[in-house]
Amino acid sequence: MLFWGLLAGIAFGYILQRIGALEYDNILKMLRLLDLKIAQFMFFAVAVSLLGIFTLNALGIGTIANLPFHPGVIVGGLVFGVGFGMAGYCPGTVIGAMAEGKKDAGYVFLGALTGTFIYAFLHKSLKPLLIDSGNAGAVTFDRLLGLPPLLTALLFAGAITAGMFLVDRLVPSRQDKKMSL
Amino acid sequence: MREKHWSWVKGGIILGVLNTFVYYLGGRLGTSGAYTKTVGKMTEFFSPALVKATFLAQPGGCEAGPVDAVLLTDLRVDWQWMAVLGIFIGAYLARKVTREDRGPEVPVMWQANFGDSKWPRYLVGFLGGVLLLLGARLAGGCTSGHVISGTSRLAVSGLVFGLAAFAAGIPTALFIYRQRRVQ
Repeated sequence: MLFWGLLAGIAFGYILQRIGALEYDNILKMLRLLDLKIAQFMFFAVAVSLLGIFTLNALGIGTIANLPFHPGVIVGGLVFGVGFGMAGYCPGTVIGAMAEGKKDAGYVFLGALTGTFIYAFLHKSLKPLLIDSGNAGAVTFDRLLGLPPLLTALLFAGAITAGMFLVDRLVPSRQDKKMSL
Repeated sequence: MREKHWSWVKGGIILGVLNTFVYYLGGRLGTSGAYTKTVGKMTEFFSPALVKATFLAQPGGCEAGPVDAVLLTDLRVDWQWMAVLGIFIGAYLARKVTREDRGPEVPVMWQANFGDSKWPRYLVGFLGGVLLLLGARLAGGCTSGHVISGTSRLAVSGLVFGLAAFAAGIPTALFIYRQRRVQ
């Protein structure tokens, strides 16, 4: 099983590099709303996964487990977002960017280790406030909407796909923006 | 001329198939938990008692059930830790295969706006890295665990985390580049 994890990671790292997600410039172009390609890539991957995972699940293959929803998801997401805008990498892409020899990624990684260390000491006091109170458990959209899982997955996949192709139409062509750093 | 990077459609299909295969294997893509394990292991070298009170009290993944259970962190190398190691190898291979040059020491966009002095970029990067993991550990996951793995399993937490990250990330990036000396 550990071997499969390594293989999946190698494929993941390869994909991230080939799509350009390991580039600071591409992440900042996305966050500055100049070129949304990386977001389109990520959400389209989610749409394809929704089809794949819930089709398999409907056939009785595999089990779906999810992370709980609590206020910490929102607060943590906001803190993460500020860090994302400053770093230009996320915890996964920074690993690949380091492998490519990008020096700034090394400093982001050191910061990430430091952040992990600091959080370890904050966890005890943040837990009752942001994780335990208002914890809704591993709530999912199909349960929330009262729809069958596969149907919900199809609806989400369709909406996401349509949205990502719409972005291509609404955001002016990339040609105009090649120089807009 | 060969296109340098894949299109989002091609990349999205390939990552979607990989993510489905990972589900089939019983795995789950997720990165930030490996940081807890790694830093926990490093801290254990100095003080095992400290690790027990801090790192081992944190959630570290989820398990399916009538109510999905949250598991506690342990310091063992697991599937996800190996996958993070794999990201390093995979990215390295991709760069070798495409024979791209190493690129500048400071990203091009940063250089164009703030000059080629290295340390301001490294400092902002370091502080950004601190916030990345503070936020990810509080939320219980990051881009891979929440947005990619969570949303593709219809988790409310996955989509909300993604929206919150963009809600804060976009103003941050616009603020950093508010001068736009190079348009």
